[in-house]
Amino acid sequence: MSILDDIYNAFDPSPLPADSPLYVDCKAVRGGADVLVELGKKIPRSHQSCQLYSGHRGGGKSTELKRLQKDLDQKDCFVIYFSAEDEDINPEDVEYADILLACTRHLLEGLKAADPQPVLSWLKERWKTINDILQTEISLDKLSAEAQIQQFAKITASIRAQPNQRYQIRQLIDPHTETLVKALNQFIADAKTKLPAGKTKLVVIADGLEKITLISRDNGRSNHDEIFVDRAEQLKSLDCHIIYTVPISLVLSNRSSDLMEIYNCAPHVLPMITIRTRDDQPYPDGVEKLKEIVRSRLQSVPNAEALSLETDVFDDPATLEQLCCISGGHVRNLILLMQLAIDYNEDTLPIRAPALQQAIRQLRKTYRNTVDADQWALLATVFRTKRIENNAQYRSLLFTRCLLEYYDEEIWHDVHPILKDVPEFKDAVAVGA
Amino acid sequence: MLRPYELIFAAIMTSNPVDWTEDVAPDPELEYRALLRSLRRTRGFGLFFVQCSPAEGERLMQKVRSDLPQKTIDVLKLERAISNLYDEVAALPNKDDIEILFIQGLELSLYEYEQDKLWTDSAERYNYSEGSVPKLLAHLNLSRERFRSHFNLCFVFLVPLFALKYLMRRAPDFFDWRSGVLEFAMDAKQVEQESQRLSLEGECEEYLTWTPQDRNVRILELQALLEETQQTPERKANLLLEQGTLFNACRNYEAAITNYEKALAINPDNHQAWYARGNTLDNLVRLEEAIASYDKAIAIKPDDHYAWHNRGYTLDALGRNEEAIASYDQAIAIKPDDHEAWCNRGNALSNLGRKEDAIASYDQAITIKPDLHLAWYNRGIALSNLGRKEDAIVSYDQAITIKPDLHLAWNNRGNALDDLGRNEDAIASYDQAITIKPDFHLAWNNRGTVLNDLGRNEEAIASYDQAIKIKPDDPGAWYNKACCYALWGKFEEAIENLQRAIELNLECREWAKTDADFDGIRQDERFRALVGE
Repeated sequence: MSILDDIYNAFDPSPLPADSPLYVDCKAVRGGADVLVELGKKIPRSHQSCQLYSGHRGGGKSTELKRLQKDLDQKDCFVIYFSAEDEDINPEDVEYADILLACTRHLLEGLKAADPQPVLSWLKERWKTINDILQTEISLDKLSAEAQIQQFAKITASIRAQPNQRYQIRQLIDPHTETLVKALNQFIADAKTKLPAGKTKLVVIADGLEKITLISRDNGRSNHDEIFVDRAEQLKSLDCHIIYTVPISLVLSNRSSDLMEIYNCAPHVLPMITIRTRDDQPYPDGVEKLKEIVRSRLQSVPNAEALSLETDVFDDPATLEQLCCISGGHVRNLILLMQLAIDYNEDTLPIRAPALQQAIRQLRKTYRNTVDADQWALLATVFRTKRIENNAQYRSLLFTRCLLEYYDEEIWHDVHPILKDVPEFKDAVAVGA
Repeated sequence: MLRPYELIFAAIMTSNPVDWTEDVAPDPELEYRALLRSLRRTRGFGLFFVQCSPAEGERLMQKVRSDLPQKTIDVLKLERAISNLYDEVAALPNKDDIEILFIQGLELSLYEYEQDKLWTDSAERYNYSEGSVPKLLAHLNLSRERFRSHFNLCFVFLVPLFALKYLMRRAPDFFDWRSGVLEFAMDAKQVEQESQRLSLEGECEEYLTWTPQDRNVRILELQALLEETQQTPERKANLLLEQGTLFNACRNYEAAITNYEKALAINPDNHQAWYARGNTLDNLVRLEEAIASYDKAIAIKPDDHYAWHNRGYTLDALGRNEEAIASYDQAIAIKPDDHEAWCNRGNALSNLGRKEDAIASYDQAITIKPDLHLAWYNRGIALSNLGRKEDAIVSYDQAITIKPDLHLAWNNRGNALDDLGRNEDAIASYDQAITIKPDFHLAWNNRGTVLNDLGRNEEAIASYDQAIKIKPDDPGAWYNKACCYALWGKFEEAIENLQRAIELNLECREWAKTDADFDGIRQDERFRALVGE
């Protein structure tokens, strides 16, 4: 095992756990964005709240939410964090009822001390019909409360499975979501009295909802609109503090003002780490922060603590500088580029410029492949104006991260730096100039 | 200890500052070594994508096996479309031992998806691609955490370019956890071989016999090959032409034209592309443009008899018969045994009323190809037009002998027999036409007329009724039915049917005024009112 192998494995692209020593606080270079303040502040002040959180994939949302969870845990909050997966929701046609059921399941599982009876009674009233649809003959009475709770998992599972059953169960549940919310709220009310010592507030963090694949309808709306806008009343009616993650493209949708009104607040977006300013000047503080992220990961590697990042790990400070700048301030891109550069490098330190060049070539090709011929002109426009317009094309480019969102007193956008040297982009800039 | 290599390397680096704005060239050897290093290094879960052809994928797997003997390597080859990969992996009996798992055939789960749209240009793909999502990709996108926490191994997906693009766009969260996308392009020789393999078919007729799915797969293969780095412009043009032909077979004519025009952008002197473009424009009934496209082909290759021939055909469709004949003459001058040109030339002559010349042209076609049933059939029509009914029947008989289910010939033969007064034979001939094609309303109608002449009124009415049942708005059948009733003495019914015929076509009123069949009721008040007398 060489030291490079260890370094390589220290650059894992998945989100960090809450108290990870690898975590670097980037608040200052993310335009002051701090999840603990922005999302966290609302919780102690109110009895109930519903907030939306968004940002580019791989930008650090989950890492930030896990930090928030820990922070709230240390205060007077009892936090249930879950990341929705296809166990919870059907990937093809997610509906708000699925999300509600997923929350129900995780609440029941997370709050074992509370009396599940209100929710179980709700289930019982519909059990005969559900049994008919599922073609099973399970008697709820014979099941322990624990096993009854598991039946909720079963309903969510069948919502995932057979399209027919899915439709029928939804037909059954949709008109009763209000009663389900009511039952859940009774359960929550009881749970709040039985929270562990010192805990007074219940917080649910529903992460991963932004992974629901965008499906555009013919009428110009999307499944995201249908879930998060049309069904907002239901989503925000749980009697606790709840945070949902939403796709960044929704935040910019034609209904973003509705979104703000409905949820009583603007969705919080985690911006990228600034690496160039709005007037296209270098921003050394941001670049320094990215270096710190690299350094913190290196320091987790035995025998690497003493190495100098600028001269031992990299062949030249300029190589490190380039690595940070080309990432666009996007953490997962930074991590990926580092892994790629290590793979393209000879098996010994330092990591040399030609290896990083290969890494950049690879990532650039991926980005280039996601841009359609008619989108280069849009990218050139954003490069000039640092603004995006509210339409599907720009949203799509945000979704693919060809456009990145930054924050500096106000929101602004820029083209991902990896695209700036692509010939099509240069041509488009020349045409527009 | 000094390592000279590194010193030299460092010296090069310092003396030549790196130009970060220029992309370095990919190097297959470097690419392979990078993949090998990642696979060797990764501890636990890892996600890699490799863009390569299936053949290249096989070579790659073999190489990795021999270069990483210490790793437990397995292959999951998907043979069909699936919607859940997690379950497939979970079902592997040795999943806890596997360290590297190659996955092949992911693209099979995308072929079925949006059949008509999958293979269009990437720019078009964007516009619809958000309309729905392949099940497998939606599943992957929501399952990455589950994959990571339950499978402690390196996944290496071997995919063609189009599948890679789908993964990027429609399973972006899954794709985002990758540790690399490596590309193994074919070398120049492989590209040549593969291009040759895919260029062999060429004929639209051949592609028409394929299933839509097979055509899709081939189009995607062509698209991947078109993007190979070692591709030459000349071969690219050929592949575009091939792809155009496939789109033609799929009846996606617009896409076909786009491909032909891309081929022409590479080489404006590609006469085959102009010719194929002409055919497609003809399919779209953009006839003038089709002729212009044929003209281009001919200007480049004056002896392109296919272009002359099809140009004639399109001119014919525009009613420009003289020009059509001139064009067929050119085709024939180049290829005297082009029997189809002789036959089509006959049709154009016939359209101009030059029946004798037409027959001579059909005769040429038949001399070259005695079993050309359409020439026999058309020759029959020309002969019949000349009043040579016996000869016409002989010609139809030939057509029928070659192609017994040619219902049109049976019908025309019936007409000729009827003209000769051979009523029973005529009815038998119509019966054949109807047996072959039960909804052939003209034959039912003609059959009714002969039965009517024979005084077999009930049968005649039944035959007309069949014609009407198939085509209720055919004034001819209603009119004939009225005639039949009039001759039969059933005036009430005659008036009713005549009224319906006139409703459908005012001309029937004029016919009725002089038609002797109605003499029996000519004085009837209602008849007079109906014909406006």
